[in-house]
Amino acid sequence: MNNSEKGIGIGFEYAVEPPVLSVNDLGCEQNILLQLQAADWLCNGPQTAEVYVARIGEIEFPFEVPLMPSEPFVCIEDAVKAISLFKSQLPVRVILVFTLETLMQERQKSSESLVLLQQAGFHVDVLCLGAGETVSLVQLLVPFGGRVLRATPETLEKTLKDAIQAAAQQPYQNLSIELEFSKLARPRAVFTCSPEPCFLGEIHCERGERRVLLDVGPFDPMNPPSWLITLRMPQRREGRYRLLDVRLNSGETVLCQASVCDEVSALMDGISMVEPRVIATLERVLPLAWFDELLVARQRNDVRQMAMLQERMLRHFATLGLDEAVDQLRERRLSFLHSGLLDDNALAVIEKALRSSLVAQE
Amino acid sequence: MGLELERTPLGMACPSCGVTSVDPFCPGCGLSLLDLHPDFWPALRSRLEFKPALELTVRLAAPEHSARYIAFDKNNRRYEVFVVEQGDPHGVLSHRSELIEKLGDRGLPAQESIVQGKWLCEATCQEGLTSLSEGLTDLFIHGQSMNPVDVCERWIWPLARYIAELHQQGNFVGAWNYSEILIDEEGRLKFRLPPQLRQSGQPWPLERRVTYSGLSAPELYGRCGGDVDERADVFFLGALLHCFLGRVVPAPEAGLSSDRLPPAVVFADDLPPDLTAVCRRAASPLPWRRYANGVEFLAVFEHALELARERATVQKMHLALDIGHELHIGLLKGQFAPVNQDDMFLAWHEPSAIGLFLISDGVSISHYGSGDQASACVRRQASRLWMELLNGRFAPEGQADMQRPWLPESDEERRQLLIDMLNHANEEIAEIVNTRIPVFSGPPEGVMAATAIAALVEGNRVTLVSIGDSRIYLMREGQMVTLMADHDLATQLIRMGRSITASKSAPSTSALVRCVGEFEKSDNHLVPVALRPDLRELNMLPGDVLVLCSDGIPDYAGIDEEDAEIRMRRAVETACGAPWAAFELMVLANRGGGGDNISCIVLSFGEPLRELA
Repeated sequence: MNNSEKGIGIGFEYAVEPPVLSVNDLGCEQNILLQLQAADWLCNGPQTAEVYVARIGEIEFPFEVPLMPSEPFVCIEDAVKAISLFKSQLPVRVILVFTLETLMQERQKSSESLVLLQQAGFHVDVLCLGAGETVSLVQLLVPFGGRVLRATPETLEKTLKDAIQAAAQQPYQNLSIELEFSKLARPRAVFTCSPEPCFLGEIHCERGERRVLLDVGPFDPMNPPSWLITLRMPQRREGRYRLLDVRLNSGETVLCQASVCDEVSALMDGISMVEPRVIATLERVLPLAWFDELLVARQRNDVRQMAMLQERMLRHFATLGLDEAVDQLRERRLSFLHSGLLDDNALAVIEKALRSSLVAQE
Repeated sequence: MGLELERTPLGMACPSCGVTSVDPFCPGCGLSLLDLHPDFWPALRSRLEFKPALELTVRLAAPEHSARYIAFDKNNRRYEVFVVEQGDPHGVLSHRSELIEKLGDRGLPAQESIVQGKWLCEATCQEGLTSLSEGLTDLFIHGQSMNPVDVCERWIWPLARYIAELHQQGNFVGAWNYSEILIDEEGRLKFRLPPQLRQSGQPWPLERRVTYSGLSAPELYGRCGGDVDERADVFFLGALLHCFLGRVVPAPEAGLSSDRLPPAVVFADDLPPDLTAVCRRAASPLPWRRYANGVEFLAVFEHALELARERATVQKMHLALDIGHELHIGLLKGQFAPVNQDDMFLAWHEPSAIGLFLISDGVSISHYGSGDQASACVRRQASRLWMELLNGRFAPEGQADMQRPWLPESDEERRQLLIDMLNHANEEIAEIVNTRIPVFSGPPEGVMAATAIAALVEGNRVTLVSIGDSRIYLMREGQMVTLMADHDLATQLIRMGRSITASKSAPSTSALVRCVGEFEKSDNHLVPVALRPDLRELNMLPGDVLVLCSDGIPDYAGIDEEDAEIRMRRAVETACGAPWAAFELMVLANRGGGGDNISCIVLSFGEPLRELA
């Protein structure tokens, strides 16, 4: 089910449960893997996209672009209403491409139509078949961020297909994830797991302040980002509990949202359902937090803490069977034990071992 | 689910915290207010009209679209009841019947089937069958005097044989529920719920999995890469063996942490070392350190059972003994603490096959005295004890002048000798401090102290004593196990029932809770308290190697404790003699950093030379 409702879709893809994977270990520690997933059509290109083309007025298309036949509409309002109704019945997103040749002759009507499309949440490009008033079109489109495309009847098909493909693959900007934790949740830390693993930091929720904002950055549908959030929950009676709400925002607009829930079973039989992918991800990114702590310990010249963290990383990589990282770290640790110093070279070696372990575990 | 939902004009009142809300989730505790609905399945205490009628008493986990219960009839006979929706629209019952049929004589086909209300119910009598979880509970209550070997034969052996058979056929299970495994009085295995078989060599995707607290391998949770194979079954056997040997419930953190389970000797005394060695390796958190599959586990387990029986019945004899020892300050430790605080004593009288071997590790931080002085006190008392034995204190009448040591006959007296030796060392420390500081105003915990481990040997019979965190290991045929538990804070907390993770992460977990150097204060004077070391006896067999060492070796020989033990074992096995083995252990610790004093005694028991009277 695709939860996106506005514009070119990106959404939380999930089958039955929310788009997050969670594991309950020791009854109190929770680790939540949050993944953005692009709809298939966004990754695979317009071949799998449902594309609706509205013909305005008397324009005829000599081809089907690309899958669905075009529907004639008298005016844009009707087209927008029809397509909005239609797309709400379907699980996939829609790229809407209008050709507005005749519309440009009436500037006032053009502006109104563009506002209408914008309000309906559609991305708008304008394809100009005629000589057109390019400058006027550009002025009209500037507030809406769309493109002016020019084509002749001979180049129309290619131009249109290129425009659809470009629109489908355009990375999205200005996206952010908002997390709102339930009252019982005690969030601890957040990691970026993909595309580039990174320790974002510990979460310190002040009393009454339960919101955390994560910047998504440019969204690449082929390489969607994911995060790991660790938190603690108290012992609870049986039931299904909301741990946090997740909202995907594009600027001020909420694109979609989901609740992360956890099931506490009444059966005292030690059986639990786990998500091994979450633990595997946690194992992968946890050393990033330790490295961060190591930098802090080095700044404070806390020798004991530095020794403990190096030992912990060494044992962790041994657990994962990463022999190369183990050998590098063992050497560093021995050198540190004898000298008590962790210089820049040593730190670089440790960081390199860390990075190579991330690659090895992919 | 049994929770009552109260609806008010202002919304729904949360049954958990009482907050009223119109939201689908309670704003107070997050409980879903939409999922509360009466259970479809029969309630507990309800009666199903089988012949005889059955009362449902305990609800068990069940596959989707079904429910399972334990039920009893009026004669208190036990049944399992399986309930599905009438007509079995989801095919759960038929699927279950197929799986039971595939189990052959290990399955429990239903004996009676009824339709009652909206349910289709099947009952299976389980009289004479006990699940592994029930067997473990019985062991807590009634089994304190049960021989560990008999316990393992009764509960672990049938399962180990079945798992070996599975692995030979190219299958494994991975996630086992020991509550569903039943064993009858003749040791035959049955399954209440058929296990889900998986094919060896086929990858198990990282999708949602069922796990069983304390018995599921770490890789089932996604750790160690998440690849699950036969070694997950080996972990299950190791964890189960740990529970039955130690008489403890499965530790919830097993599988969730990279720490090993504590040795079973923490929970129970005098366990057969060969069995605890098998348990330690099988329950390793790292798959590649366990036995490769159930076949290998079964072979080693059966051999361990044989060895345990042999140790219990072996005749007293003089075994050839090869002795090695090393004492080193530690390459790193020596740079900032120029005095070696470890000390040792060795004495061996070959003709009588009697010997006394001791290692003492002084505590580094003490405000009154120093660790080396404390370990020297222990060593002097060992020397004094040896002189007493040589002087014929326990010699039979007329044989006191034979210039050979004599030991008391009974194990209790030998234990008392070693306890007295440690208590005398404690008294000597008190005397030193009281002499130097006539008015003692400081805390007794700041007085110098030391650990002590000792082996009193006569032929193949060894009496061991341990106080502190020095180690006594037994190595044999590729296995290695520690014979006594450490007396540190982490172990103490685990014994008191705290979780393993919490115990190991508490502050000062390596602080000693028992050592030579325990005192009370009375009138500004130190008064030694009676020490409580751990003691045990062991019959050695040809091929056994006993290694006594301070913590300077296991702490630095490897990346973690298990890695250190593997390296230590390899060093001893590949050495050409006990002296060389001791040297290799010292080198191993120094190569690993040498951050602590290093001392070890290696006793390699060889072929029998003669029988002893």
